[in-house]
Amino acid sequence: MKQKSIAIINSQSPYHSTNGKDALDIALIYGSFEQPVSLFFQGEGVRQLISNQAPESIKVKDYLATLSALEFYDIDNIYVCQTSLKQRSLAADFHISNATVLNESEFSNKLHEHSVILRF
Amino acid sequence: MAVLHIIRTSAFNDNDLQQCLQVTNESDGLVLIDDGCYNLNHPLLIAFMTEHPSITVNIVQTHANARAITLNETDNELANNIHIIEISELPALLFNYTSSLTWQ
Repeated sequence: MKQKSIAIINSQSPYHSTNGKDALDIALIYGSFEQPVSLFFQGEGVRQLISNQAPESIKVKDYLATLSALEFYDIDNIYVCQTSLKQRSLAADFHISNATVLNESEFSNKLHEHSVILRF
Repeated sequence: MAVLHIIRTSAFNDNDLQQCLQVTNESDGLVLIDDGCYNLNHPLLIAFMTEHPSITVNIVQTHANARAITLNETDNELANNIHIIEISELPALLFNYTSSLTWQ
């Protein structure tokens, strides 16, 4: 049976809800069971990657730092929606080094390569 | 892999429909349920349907009725291309696609 690949879409800004952290926890769980998982950042979700954020100043735990741990779980497929960045006037200045910015059709095609898609 | 996009929110309220349409390709399908039914009259969906006439758009009859949305009284000239379904038909519809993605 062909192994299923999982795509996790992050669509919310980092401190809007617990979605960002929940999505990351689930990605790490899949990773720890050696399941192929890719992360996608779209819409407000792209804000999770922007550097120089200081959640401690609002007394919130910095779960975003955990994004750097992904490579230790062999999660290297991290994709960012270029259109979402542009709409928000954001530069591709991320606090992780292994994210790939994709244009609209590349982003869609990449997403369609996965058999299971979860959106947070 | 073909994706069935289940759209539950109104584009007049949030950005989900726009993000959904950005990742919808020719093999995919759309289902409007809950407040997603309001998208029938949204310019984004209307433009999308005009550009991609082969992509099936489904709408759940009871959800549209609850919101007084009738397919023959809409700005959407392509309303005739919309496939009306009962909610009970949704599980079977899912099996026509490789996966589903809910926009909520």
